[in-house]
Amino acid sequence: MAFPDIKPASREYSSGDWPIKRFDSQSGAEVRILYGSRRVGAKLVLGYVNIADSSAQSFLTDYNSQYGTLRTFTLPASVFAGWSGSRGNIDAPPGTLWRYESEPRVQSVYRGLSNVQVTLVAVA
Amino acid sequence: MAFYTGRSGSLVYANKPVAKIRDWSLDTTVELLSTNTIDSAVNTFTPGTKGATGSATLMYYRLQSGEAASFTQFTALLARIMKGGAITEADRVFLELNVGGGGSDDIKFYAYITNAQVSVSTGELSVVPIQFTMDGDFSEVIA
Repeated sequence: MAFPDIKPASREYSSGDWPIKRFDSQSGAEVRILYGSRRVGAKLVLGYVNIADSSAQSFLTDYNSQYGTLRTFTLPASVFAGWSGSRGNIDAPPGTLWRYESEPRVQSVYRGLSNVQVTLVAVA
Repeated sequence: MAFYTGRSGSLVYANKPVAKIRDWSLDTTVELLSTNTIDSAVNTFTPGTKGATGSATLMYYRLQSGEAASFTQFTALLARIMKGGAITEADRVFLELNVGGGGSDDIKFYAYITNAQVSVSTGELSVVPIQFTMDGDFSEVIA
């Protein structure tokens, strides 16, 4: 099953970082060592507001099909709707894919309508 | 009758018109739930819950001899809020707001009296403005 093809009402992206180890020397200088070639840990928080329960259910179904936080996947273009910049800048960094960081949160707000919040993290 | 005036209007409680009312009004509203997505340029909505609130100005009028068979005294409604003890579900009232005498000019619903004011002023008739909020749906509406 693919990630639900639904446009979010809100989207929050954070870039993550490269695998870096930091050391503080006796002189007070900070030494940083790069351990990898891929930026990891990018995070995407998607908010869906007042969507039909059937659409909210599709997030739960996909979460089950991905075995929760186990499997990785790509995202449909609808997730990046409204972004006028380059999609690559807010998608999973090169060499990484998205997985669920935690279970989707579904909040029933009215009969037949729900709010959903999904948090994804990019991993190699 | 094509036009209606207040002359044909009434507020009915306990199956009888409340004696001497000055006016009534009813506002019906529906809550809108936003269905905007992140790329929306215009607002879109889906309807949420519906509700109604209203008001009426009752005259502070004591029924005269023989009127009790035809009219309800204002105290019957006032007592639903201005009383000792708690306001309970038993204080819910069934109101009928009539624009005219015809069966299609009625609005009927259950409501709670949410506000009552007793107003006395020199040179003025004493009045009892009340406000109410519909509980549940309309039993009958203007058709």
